Amino acid sequence: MDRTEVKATGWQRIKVLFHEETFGFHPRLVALNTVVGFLPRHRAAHARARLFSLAGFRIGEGTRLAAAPKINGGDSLFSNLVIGEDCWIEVDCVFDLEERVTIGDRVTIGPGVMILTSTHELDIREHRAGVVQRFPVSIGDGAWLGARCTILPGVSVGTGAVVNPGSVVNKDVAPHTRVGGIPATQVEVLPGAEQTAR
Amino acid sequence: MARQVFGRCPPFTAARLTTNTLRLLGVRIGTASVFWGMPDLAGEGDVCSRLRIGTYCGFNVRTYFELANEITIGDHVAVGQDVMFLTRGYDSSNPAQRGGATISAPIEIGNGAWLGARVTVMPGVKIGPGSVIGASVVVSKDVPANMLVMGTRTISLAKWR
Repeated sequence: MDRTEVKATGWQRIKVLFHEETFGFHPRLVALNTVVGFLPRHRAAHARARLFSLAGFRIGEGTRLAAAPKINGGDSLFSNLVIGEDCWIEVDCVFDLEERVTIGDRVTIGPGVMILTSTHELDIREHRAGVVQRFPVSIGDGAWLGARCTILPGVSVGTGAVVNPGSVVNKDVAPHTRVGGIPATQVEVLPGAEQTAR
Repeated sequence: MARQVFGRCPPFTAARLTTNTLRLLGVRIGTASVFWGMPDLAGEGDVCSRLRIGTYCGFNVRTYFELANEITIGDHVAVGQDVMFLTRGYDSSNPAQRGGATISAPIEIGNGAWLGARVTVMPGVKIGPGSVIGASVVVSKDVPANMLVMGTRTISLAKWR
């Protein structure tokens, strides 16, 4: 791969540096985390979700956040998180919002779940983690993500799917199936798929 | 409330104060057991009364207890960093909401067990006495006594002393 170093000079260089130093800084997010920091963990879950939607995230009615998820991302951070109605999101979740994360209605997300949207291109052996790539993630209606599972970039979890605790999901999950393991493979087909298909 | 105070406290400081505060809050903790950081006690109602810990246990930082049901920990148990004890599962029979109705089951950890870092203990699991659980294992089935669980393999430690 041919790599030519970009020679930026003077004012241009300062602009690039300024962007690199500040693209992850969102004053509104800092303010939100400061306010939300006063709410006790596991309590005031409705109020926390309301504060998040006031700050600019699209969060449906009846969604509860047991604690503030750790959020990081670039310019369009606030529009990159879409959460449906009546979801329950547990403590210590991590949402990487470099790309769009869409969470459907009635989704349950266990404690310590990590949803990632950015990865790297596989590069030369001297530097394997190459150019940053971003892929959106979507979680279908009624899905349940078990504790401490990791959703890798580009994955879509189907409607009514269950992800076992501790698993790492690197492929799409079919609707109404249970997956588990590292990497996650199908464990069983859950009953009830026919009812919703009709 | 205690979490709000001790959460600001750096890890590995005021461990005895943390443990005694938990004792005051109603957690039954045996003598010489110590929490190196304030654990997270989740659940509704009187969570402290559902946790029972034996003597000479050691808990590393950021332990997470989900106390929807009882968690009983024996004597001389060592628990690593970031260990999660989960007592609440969901009855995933409703296709419209897999994480709907909650079900809870108690957890029991036998005497002398050792749980490595980032272990997740699932609802209803009993870990036998003298068992060792390796780092980042998800324990979803009962573990018999004197077993070593690493990754997906289980080895018996019965012949080892």
